[in-house]
Amino acid sequence: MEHGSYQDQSQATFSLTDEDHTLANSLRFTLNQDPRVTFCGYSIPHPSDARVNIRVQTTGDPASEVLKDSCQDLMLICQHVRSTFDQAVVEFKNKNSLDAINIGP
Amino acid sequence: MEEQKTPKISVWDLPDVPKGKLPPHLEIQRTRVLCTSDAPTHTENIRYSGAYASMGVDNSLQLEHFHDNFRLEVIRLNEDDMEFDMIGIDAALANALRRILIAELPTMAIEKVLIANNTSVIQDEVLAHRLGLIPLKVDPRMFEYMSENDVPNEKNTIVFKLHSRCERGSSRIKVLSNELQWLPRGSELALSTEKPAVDPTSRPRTYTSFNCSQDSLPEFSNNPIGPKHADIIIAKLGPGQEIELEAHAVKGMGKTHAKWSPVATAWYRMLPEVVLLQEVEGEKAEELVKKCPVKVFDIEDIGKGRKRATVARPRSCTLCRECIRGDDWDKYVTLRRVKDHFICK
Repeated sequence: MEHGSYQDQSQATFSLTDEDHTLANSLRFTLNQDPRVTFCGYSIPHPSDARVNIRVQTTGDPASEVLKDSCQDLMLICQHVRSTFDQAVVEFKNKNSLDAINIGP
Repeated sequence: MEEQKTPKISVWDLPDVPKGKLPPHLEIQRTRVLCTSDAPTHTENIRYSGAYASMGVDNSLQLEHFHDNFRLEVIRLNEDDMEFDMIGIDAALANALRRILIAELPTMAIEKVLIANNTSVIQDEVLAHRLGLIPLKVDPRMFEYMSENDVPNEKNTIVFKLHSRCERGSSRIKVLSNELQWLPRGSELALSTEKPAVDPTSRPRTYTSFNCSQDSLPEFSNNPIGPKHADIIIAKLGPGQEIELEAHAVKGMGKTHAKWSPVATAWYRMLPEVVLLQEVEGEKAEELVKKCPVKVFDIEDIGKGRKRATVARPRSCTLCRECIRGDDWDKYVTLRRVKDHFICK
């Protein structure tokens, strides 16, 4: 759900249901890094409802576009983390099995 | 009198102002948390893209920059626990990862318990609660979630049976978790609404409707499903007491109930960095080494019988601040934490 005005597309508040700090803080982090953003923040109106309000103000670009772009960036970051993790685990296992072979008779 | 005209140079061209990078003290503020004796300072992460615009430094996120700088090193990996380091990532993402590990990874746990007979001293609901918390050794990716309207079938339920009695005249027995037997063909308890079957060859309807035995699936035929640890005490029975029950396990997430959380716990901390501001020699060095309870400092001989203290194991520093307690030690040691290096366990 988006609260904004039809005339001024560059600022809006997005209300997401069934979310909590896990997504909202990471989105806020990627939004802040975008140079088109002048202000961004999130709040949780009540801790018992799983609802998050994200406020985005930009330098002219429509806020929904900027939000979508940062979601995309977040997905790319996570994919990179995942592949680096898999690689690191494989390397660790190889290194350890090599050590085991070296120590053996 | 002639005025001496000094040529006007802009501030940016002065020799000691670094261009394109932050001066060292600001760089420390941006990337390290200073832990003084009162409280940690500079804990916020300055992530706004225009934060350092007046210095000509671009603080915005560049994906390539992240791709180049991000490193992940696994320190320890066992079947049950793991320790790894993430370098170059922000606290928001590390925390999101931790929250997801605890709450949003699916596992299987016992949800419904059908009790046929319970004459022990443990109440029904306490027994059911204990059964729910037992960790099961099964891959949750092979199962689907079950909602309210679904019929329990072999794709979303695992059925266990527990039947234990203590004979009269013998001493107390403990009911351990290895007595939970897996029933790959589904429930054996008949539904109470069934009238006695007219046709003796048809199977009575039970609480679950398994179309095929779970044993026939290739993953399960050689690895039977059971609890992860066989020595968990479920209940204790005195002579003459009996427990007979059937337990159904379903897939769920830690968000709904902690029994579905796959980890015992997951935590992270930032890498500690201990910096000696001045040379610490001789007796002071011995004193410093003795002060630290986890032996972060070490003595190094620099010839002529003089000793010097060095930082040997900064990673094991627990930030007890013992080394900066007392007068004057502040000038010798500072404690800092690196903001983008997380040690995760």
